[in-house]
Amino acid sequence: MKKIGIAILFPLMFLGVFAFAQKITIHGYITDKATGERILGSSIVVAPFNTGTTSNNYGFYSITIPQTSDSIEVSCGFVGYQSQQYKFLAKENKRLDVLLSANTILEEVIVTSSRKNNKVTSSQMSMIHLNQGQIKNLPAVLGETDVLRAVQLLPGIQAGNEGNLGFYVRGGGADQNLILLDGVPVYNAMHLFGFFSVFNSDALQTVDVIKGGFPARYGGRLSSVLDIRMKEGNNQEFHGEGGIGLLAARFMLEGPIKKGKSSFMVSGRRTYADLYMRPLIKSINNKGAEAGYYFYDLNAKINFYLGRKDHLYFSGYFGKDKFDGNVNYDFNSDSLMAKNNLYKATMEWGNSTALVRWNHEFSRNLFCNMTFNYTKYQFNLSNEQNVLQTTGVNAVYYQAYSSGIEDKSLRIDLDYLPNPNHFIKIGTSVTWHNYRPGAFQTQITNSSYNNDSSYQAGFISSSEFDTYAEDDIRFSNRIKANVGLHLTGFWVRNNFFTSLQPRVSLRYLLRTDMSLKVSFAQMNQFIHLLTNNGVGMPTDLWVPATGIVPPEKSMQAAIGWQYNWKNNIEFSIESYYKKMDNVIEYKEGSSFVNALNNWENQVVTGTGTSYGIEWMAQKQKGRTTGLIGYTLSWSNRQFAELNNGQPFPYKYDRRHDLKLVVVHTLTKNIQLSADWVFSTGIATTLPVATYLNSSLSQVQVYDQRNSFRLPPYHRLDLSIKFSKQKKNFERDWVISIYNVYNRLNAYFIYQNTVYNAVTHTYYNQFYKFSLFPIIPSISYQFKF
Amino acid sequence: MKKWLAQCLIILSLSLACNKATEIDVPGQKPLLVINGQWRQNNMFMLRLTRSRGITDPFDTGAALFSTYEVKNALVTIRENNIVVDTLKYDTMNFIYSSIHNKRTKLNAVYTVNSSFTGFTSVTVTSPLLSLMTISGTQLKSGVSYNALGDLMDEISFSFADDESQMDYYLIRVKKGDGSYAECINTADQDFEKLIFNNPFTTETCLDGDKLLLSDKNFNGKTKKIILSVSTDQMQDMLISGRIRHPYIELLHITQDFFKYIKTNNNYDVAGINPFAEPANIYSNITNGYGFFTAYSVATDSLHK
Repeated sequence: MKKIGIAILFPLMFLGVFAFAQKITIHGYITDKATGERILGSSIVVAPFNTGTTSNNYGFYSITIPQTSDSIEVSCGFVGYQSQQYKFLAKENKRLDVLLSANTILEEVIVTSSRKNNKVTSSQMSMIHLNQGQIKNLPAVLGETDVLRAVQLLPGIQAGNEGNLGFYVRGGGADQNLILLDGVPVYNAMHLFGFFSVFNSDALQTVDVIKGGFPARYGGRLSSVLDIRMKEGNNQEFHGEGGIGLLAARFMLEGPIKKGKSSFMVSGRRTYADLYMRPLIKSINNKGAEAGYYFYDLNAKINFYLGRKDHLYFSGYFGKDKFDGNVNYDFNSDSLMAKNNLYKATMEWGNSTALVRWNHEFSRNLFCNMTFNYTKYQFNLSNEQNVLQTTGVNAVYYQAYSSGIEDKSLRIDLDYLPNPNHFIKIGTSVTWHNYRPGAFQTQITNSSYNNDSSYQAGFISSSEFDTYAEDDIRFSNRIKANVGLHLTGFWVRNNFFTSLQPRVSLRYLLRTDMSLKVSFAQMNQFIHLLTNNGVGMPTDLWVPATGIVPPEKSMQAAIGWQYNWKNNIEFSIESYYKKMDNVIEYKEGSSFVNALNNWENQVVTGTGTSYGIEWMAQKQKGRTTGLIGYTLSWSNRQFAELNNGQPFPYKYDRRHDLKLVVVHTLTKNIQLSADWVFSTGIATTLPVATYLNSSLSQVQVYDQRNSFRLPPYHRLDLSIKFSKQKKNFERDWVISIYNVYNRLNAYFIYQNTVYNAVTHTYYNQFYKFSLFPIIPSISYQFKF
Repeated sequence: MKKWLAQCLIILSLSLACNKATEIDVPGQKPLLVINGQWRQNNMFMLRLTRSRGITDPFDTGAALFSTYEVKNALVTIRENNIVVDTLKYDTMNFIYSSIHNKRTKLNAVYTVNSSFTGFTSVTVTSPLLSLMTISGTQLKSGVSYNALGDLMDEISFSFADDESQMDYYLIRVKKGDGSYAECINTADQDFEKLIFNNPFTTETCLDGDKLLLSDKNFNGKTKKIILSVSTDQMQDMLISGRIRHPYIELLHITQDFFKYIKTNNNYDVAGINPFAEPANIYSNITNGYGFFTAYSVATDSLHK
């Protein structure tokens, strides 16, 4: 009944939008003068009316004001750019395309945060904006900076295991983060078992992290949205950048296809550890064995301006990890059945995404964005054994396993700006999912037998539609709200699930530089991730909600205070409470290894609650910039079938989480950066006792689930960058040290039986396994 | 200089970037008494009473292992329908506590075990010995189908009448002529409990012959017909000690506790061989202690072709 009431009342809120008056509309695009790339989120203010708006995700803005015979002044600005002012008579509608030039003052270049006072004045809360500069200024690991490592340094976001880039937002799981690359979901964002993300920082433009107060346009995950946008490509001149580190080399090139009309950006990265590992392993094993591992990423984007009202984009991402190895045995004895035995194993996984986007300006205040996208994640594992028998017959035994997920999606979004008090967004999308929880193939070929069998574990298709409407309403100078509804439906195996999700964010401006915000968001998730411990294994399986394992739901309420001191230091405090239903966990004794056999039977569903408070201070200007963030939080889970039905701490329930990031420009050519993190150890389950069962075998007794804490995690990383302008390019040497004071953080705990020579007895000893000690690295970067 | 610095850093990072293990302290738990016993009808009272040990307590290996868990001469009393009927004595030869009066279990009785020992918290456990079920219409049809691997399969069918008055739990065991359990039994019956498998690469979703669990939530008060499919080679008569032994089925009428115990015991076994598995505890119904005690009735019928 409540849902129906909301559905009826919601459209009425928009009625005020259509009041008639003598008005004119100023509209256009905000563009970077040097690169021709559109600037999103820049502010446009009309002076005499003290009213303004911001450009949308594609640089489009529209502002409708009362018609007047006087001249008006329109100013447009964005942090890091020189603001522009325009004066003209406001007698008729006007198209005003603004070109902004980047500031050349040192401190403005260093500034890496985004929009002047935007965080304070925006109705959006729980959102943090990062750009490429911020990410690249952080200390590198093995010469690689990473967007997900930067995200882990934000308050309210917990890191997973040591070195792993999985992230956990406000008590949610790693599967509850919607990771979008140019609006396309990326299902497995990890390389090298989670130590690197698939996002090449050379190709990125901006990153928005939303932890709560989700606008209605987002849906599909419970806990966060990580909206990553790739560079469009410079349509004025050619530029490139790249780097060589200990692990990988990368290169990015951008430039105009037709100056001012179209551009491209292409970026690639590849590791080369296999180039020296393979011969090394081969020589160690006397040519009897060899193995190698590599990953690569390829990002590409081209875009065309088709007149003043249309803009067409094509973009794609292709990435793969591959591990392969082989062992070769020669048998010299004629009495053996086999003369030669060659064993090969290959494991590869990767994502592919593709997107076609068309921006069209229907009218001065109606902007449309249409998208078709495709995303695929595939994991393949195979092994082959070739046995050359003494009879001369070559017997081949081949096994292969594959799993994955594939989506195709159509989406239409409309931005309607009828007047400065409303910014309406509506849209709809339909997505076709194809899940492949697992498929096996076995081939046996020899002189007497030839068998080829395949086993497909439940190839599942589903369809999902989403539709939303939201309005960013300015009620007065002090009060602004974003009100929206997200309606979604999901078909799978003759089940149809629907969900109507209200979203509200409210801002009250205490002063021009200080605001209070509250938000409420209900979210729904029709997809589950079968994973163990969130290690970021390529074997993680995405599976749909079904009648047995229903969709996950959450409700999150948050309240926050935001203050921008002298337009330099931002302070924020946010408190949240989140309740989650139908979250999943593996049954006791189960794992992804068993999940192939009827995965719905391997998991249990339950509830989760999390609450906490986050403090953050972020300095944005000057020679020294950085942030301090602290989170005090609790996150629990409860399942009828686990822990005797009693609530228990979530694995990544970290009570205290402190983060410090400092970037200091020592001279024009030398920059220092450091980050230090401290957090409560993750929760784990350990045995506390043993006894003998009825057959006199030793049985271990585990205490309450996740009742033991690993030692606290803390780590300091440092980096120093030496820059120099050469004749035709700029180069940087970056020296980084990961884990400076060699803290042996626990990756996991294991037990071993140890002999005590004094008492001549054995005992169980627990050990923490640490993965990364101090790791220095150096990389060379260039830009032209 | 730059080249030298780069080379040094590469060598240093490669040499340092390896895993390390360091000891950490984990608190153990104080010892508790442990009872293990599974009584069928007309069994002599007999159970094993031992003690638990903290996870980091020192211990010996081999034959001496049992001695670190052994509890001698504890007081173990048995109540039948809440009346003390026996006190068990420790048998040092077999390491068990048993009735010296040759007392035996009775159908439909409720048994309570109390045990105490100096320095330990007393433990107690209660279990009913449920009514004996009647198996009817048992048939073994030979070679009725093939499984996915091309094996010839026999079909076992039989029925029993469920009692309407309570929630009932059953365990069916399928045994070969030599008394060992049959393996990989298939059934399309959705009432059977789906257990976690320990072999992820099997294309069969078959059940072991000692783990055919079901509850009567879908057939309460009705006659339940069971149809099972077993490979023909397991259902052969066997000549043992000069006598022909037929394969047979057992229908155990069990408690909910026993049902939980079998499920969790299976989880524990599976977790033990899978390093990625979530930790599993075996269900215990012992108050203030560990282990598992139950009584059950068992009906048997042989399988003839």
